[in-house]
Amino acid sequence: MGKIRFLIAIIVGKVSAFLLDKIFKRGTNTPGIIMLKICPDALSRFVMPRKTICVTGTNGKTGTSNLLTHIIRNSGKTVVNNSKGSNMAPGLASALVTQCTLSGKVTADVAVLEVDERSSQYIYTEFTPDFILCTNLFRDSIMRNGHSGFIFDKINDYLDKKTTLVLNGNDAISGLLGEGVCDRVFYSVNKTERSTETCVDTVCDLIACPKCNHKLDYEFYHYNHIGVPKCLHCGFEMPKSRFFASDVDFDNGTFVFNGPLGESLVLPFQKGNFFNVFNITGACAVCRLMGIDLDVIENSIEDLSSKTGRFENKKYNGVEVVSMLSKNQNPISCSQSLKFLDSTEKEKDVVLLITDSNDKVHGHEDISWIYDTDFAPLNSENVKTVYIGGSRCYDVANCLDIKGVDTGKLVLFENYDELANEVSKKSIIGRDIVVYFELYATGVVEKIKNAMSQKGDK
Amino acid sequence: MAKIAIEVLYPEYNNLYGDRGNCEYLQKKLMLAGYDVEVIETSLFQKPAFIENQVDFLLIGPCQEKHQVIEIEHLKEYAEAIKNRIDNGGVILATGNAFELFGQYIETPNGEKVECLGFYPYYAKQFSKLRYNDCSVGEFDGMEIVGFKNLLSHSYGENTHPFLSMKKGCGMNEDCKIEGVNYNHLFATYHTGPILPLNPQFTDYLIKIVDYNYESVTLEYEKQAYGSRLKELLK
Repeated sequence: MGKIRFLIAIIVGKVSAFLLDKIFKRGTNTPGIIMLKICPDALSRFVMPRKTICVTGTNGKTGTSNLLTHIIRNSGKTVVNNSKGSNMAPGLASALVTQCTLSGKVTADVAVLEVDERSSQYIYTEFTPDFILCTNLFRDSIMRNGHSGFIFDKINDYLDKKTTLVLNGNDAISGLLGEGVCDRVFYSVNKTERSTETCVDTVCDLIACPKCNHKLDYEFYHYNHIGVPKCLHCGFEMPKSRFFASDVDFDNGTFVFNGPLGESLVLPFQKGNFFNVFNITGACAVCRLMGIDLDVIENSIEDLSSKTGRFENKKYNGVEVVSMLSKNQNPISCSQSLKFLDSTEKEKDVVLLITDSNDKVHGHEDISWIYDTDFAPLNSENVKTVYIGGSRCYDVANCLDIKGVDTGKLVLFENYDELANEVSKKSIIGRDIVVYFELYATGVVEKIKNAMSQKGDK
Repeated sequence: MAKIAIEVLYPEYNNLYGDRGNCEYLQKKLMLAGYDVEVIETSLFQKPAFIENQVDFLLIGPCQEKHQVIEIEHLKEYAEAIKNRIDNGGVILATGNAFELFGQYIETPNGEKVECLGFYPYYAKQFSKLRYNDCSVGEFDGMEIVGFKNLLSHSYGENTHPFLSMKKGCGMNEDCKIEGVNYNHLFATYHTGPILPLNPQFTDYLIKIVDYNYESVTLEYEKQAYGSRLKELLK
């Protein structure tokens, strides 16, 4: 019975994927949703390729899995990945069904699958990945993720001893995954000129030793709790990293990737995006474990370093509008993207669209996370006006006031159309507009851009 | 200038949901009102300051469930001092699962019972997979208190001194309309996160307990933030 159900699921999945692609010209999760309705254990029935790699973690999943896919393809292997769909079970099924035989044998040589941390129980129980790369674990959206310990357990409880874990050696939260169960390979980034001796960010998710609960010492911090922790009380420290990045050059956007036996490569990274160094190092570690040649890696990173990134800029009659995605309810993502304001001396107006713009549908938003966000860059003299939009604008303004941002700079609009018009009306040639927007606010960003281009027409 | 001391217990763990906002807001208001404010952060292996020194506000926030078990063992050493503080009318604000510390015990998902301070008859049960999210409104002393909940546990049993009667959202558990503890100036609530900046009126009430002569200071946007939330939640 199961076999027939799976066959039907595959046929329906393939047909719907084909049709949806023809009609909407884009990937979707619908084929996977239908497949799992017909055959709930479909994911366990696929014959997976010779190598299956899952990429999980709070931040950097998408960047890292895209990079991995790119390098592996350049090495001459075919890859199936879920970059077009979601990172939950239906997204994975939708990806696999497009590249499998009717019996469910995946035809690609390698699968690179981005996996939502909270979906571990629906995925690692269905098939056993050869590698799981976990980028890091941080506090994330309160309503979805609770706290980092909750997410840690969600992953750790479903790991199989046959999986090799590739872990961030600078993160002593995710770095404890699979301890005593799986083979574990660590990668890390050496101290840079920007490392600090104390944590300069609002949030540090690991202050106490995970083993003895005494206060942890850090040799240095890269950012938040990412660094080199050492417990002076019980001696806890992270295992040695087999792969590591050294000589990070922020001015030129290069670093050196080092592997065992003295192998090394000079690689570029997206300037101003230090996380990129972690993503590249992690992806390269997996590639080396798979035996991919260094020169393939070198060439692949070269041509990708200019792409990706979640920020966009466009000029409207002398005004540059920069828009940056700030992941919903994620104080780390929001704080890190606000740091961009410090990177140039230019005058700026800032637009904060960081609270849920679709709360009429999603319900009242728990805005606790804004108190974990570091808004200090808004204090810069270069930041002239801070527009705050949406139904929770007063909460954001109150929080900024408490955290010491001059309220004289703040302009609030519950209504997004009014906000877009005002931003455009008050824009000044030579002054940038930096828009921080959450996932659902892309429409509001469009409104601002439209208002800006109309202003030019007048 | 009058001096006011705020002690935050175990900030290395009890900082999950923007709870730092409570201390930051208290500090801001008190400073604007002209007080000289000292914030004392006490970590797990340190002796809490309130035991030997004057502390006006004692704050304890929510932490991860596995850390809660460790904290309880430490807090039990100071059970008598905490009891004295409550009996003598010292202010304590306990948020999120810190509410559970004052009850009988916490039952973990594998059935183990972790004994708590035992001041009040209720007990807590943790759930392993499901997380409870809520935006709620409760009533205390004629004030409507708004807030958020993000919990991996609920509480049951008798609540002899409830803090809030809920107008929206659940109480100690989903079948219950009361929650928290208020005895003298102990305010323990299941609400997580920045409950003080969300409730300026209640914050002023707390400060008045410490200094009756406090003249209320209002931040520019606090009332609008409170008003728009209350209106939406009671809609």
